[in-house]
Amino acid sequence: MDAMNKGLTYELTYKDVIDIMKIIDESICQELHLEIGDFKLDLVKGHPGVGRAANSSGKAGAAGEKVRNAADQTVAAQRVGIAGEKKETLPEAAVTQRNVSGDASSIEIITPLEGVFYRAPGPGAPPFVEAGGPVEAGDQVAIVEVMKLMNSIKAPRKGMIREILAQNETVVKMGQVLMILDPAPVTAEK
Amino acid sequence: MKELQINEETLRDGQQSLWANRMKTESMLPICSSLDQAGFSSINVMSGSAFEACVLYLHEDPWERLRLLRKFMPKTDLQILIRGRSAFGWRRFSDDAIELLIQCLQKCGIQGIVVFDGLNDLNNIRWHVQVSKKLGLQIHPALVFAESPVHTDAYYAQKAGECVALGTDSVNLADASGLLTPERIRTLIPTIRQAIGENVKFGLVSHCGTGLGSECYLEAMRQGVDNLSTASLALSQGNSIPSTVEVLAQARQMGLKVELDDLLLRKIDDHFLWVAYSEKKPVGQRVPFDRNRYTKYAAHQIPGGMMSHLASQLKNLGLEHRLPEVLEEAGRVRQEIGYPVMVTPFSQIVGVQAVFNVIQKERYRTTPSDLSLYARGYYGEMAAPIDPNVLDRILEGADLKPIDASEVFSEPLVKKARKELGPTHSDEELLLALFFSKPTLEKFFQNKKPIDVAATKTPVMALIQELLKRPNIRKVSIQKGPLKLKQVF
Repeated sequence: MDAMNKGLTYELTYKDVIDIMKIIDESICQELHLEIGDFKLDLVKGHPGVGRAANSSGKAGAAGEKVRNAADQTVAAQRVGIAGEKKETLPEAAVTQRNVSGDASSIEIITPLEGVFYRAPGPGAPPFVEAGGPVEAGDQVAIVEVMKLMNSIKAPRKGMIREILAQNETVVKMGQVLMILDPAPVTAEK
Repeated sequence: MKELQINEETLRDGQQSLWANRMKTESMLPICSSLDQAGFSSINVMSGSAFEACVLYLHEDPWERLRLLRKFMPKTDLQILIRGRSAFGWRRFSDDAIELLIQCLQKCGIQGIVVFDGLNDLNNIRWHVQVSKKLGLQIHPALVFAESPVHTDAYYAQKAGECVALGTDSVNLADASGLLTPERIRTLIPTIRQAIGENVKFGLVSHCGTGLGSECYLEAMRQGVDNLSTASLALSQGNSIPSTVEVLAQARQMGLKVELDDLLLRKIDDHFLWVAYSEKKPVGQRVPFDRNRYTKYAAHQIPGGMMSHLASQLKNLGLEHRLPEVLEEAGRVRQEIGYPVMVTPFSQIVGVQAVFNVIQKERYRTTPSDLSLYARGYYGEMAAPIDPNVLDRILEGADLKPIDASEVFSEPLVKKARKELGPTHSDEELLLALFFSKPTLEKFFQNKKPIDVAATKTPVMALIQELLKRPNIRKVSIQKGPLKLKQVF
């Protein structure tokens, strides 16, 4: 890996990604922990069936719940085909946020996978949120449907939706900006 | 300090030599701004065979690709390679078709036309030069290199002088098969330089298939070359050309001034490594030089792309074990028909004739019709006369009348096509109709896909996407700045 790391941020390159994937694919190691600057990867390999089955039975109650984590669900969509069972999700927030150029305070809410973008929970139902509307951290703001599975997109922070960029019921690409969020000022966080 | 200019060829020669032109436009666009800012003197973006691959295999509108590339690379001069009179098609085209093509390319945002003719017959490219100059485009003729008793230094010096007389912006030498050696360059470049003078820019592109590409570039720099063509790391070496980073390091060591941005070059290399990995495409590997192999290869000079084709055709006939025999025969055929440079269409003519000769046990019993056309002068002036005995066999029972290669120039092909197509078509559609058959185009319009212009991602997103494809991962968490992902299966 490049020694560009100054302890703060590490610019992960595609070459790094290829090297990481080679380590994962070609070595017999069971666990991988990697930390370079602000990049951190932890990974445990294992038989998919075992891992999945254990999880599903352990949290069976969650199976019918509304999906919370979009990135989780991508995997779920792929795994369901393999193991033929429903997948629960983790509460960990995976909504990606990044600064919009020109306005350091706003956050782009992007879709981490390709799918159909829905603004409302169902046909005829009112939208989760309108432009200008307030949201709490973790509020569902949209759905992205992938392989017939509905994945909820959540607000990463409390604030106000400034703009909705994606068209309702159209295909959105991985990484596409769906909405722009103006976060509420942080008060009691530190 | 002498300056060395670098012409970027990843999108043209690189992917043509290693990926059979299957790189999608959406794999190009995300890195365009880096390519545009890196300091290349020009970027070559397409050739006739890439144009064809767009239509036949990628189902992309090649005109649209050109417009997008221009849009994403507004700064650098974009060039395109035209295969002489056959342009982007296979037959020979008239003046009006060539002119319309160059006009359309200019409208798409192309600034420079690189043109070559497989026989180095300048009559075949004179019109391209005239039209380009009239339209205010740069015109760069490329003389194609072959190793033969008739392709001497004096031969190339004379041709180079003829190019200068046409008023071209540069003179270039293209070695498509990697046959040039450093020794040859030591005499060839000074001889050409003498013919063109100090003020005309001289450019070189050589290939790495025999393992000499990089050494040839090094020697060319010593001999005062003005412009070298290079490609990004993943699409360099193998049957492709030397990499930009390697040439840059060599040039600097030699004290040449090269205005390229190192950081952007690294970004470009990184991007195409990823395209190769994610699309499961081969990355060019350095081929060591081997004198025996070189000598064998120099006898037939069949280009890499054609070689795999030939092998698969023999395999279909159950004759794959006879490939060495066919190659040996190709060397003989090439000699007998006057050493045409082994590029389209001559590499095909020689290769096919060699197969016929081997499987039929009687030489030249069957000949491809293009060979008799060639023999009658249809393609232009030959480098050397055809062996008289072979000529008799080729023209046996065929029309013996010589063909004037310029006959086709004045045919009103565009006018005819306009009439056939009716009033509602664009110039671009008309050219497609000239270059491709009706069924091919029907299929193309049916399958044509819009080009995704927003397909950018970051290495972290790419990593996540890859990890999610792996069935044997039970637990993963990733943190990168504000991004957090945790996943248990």
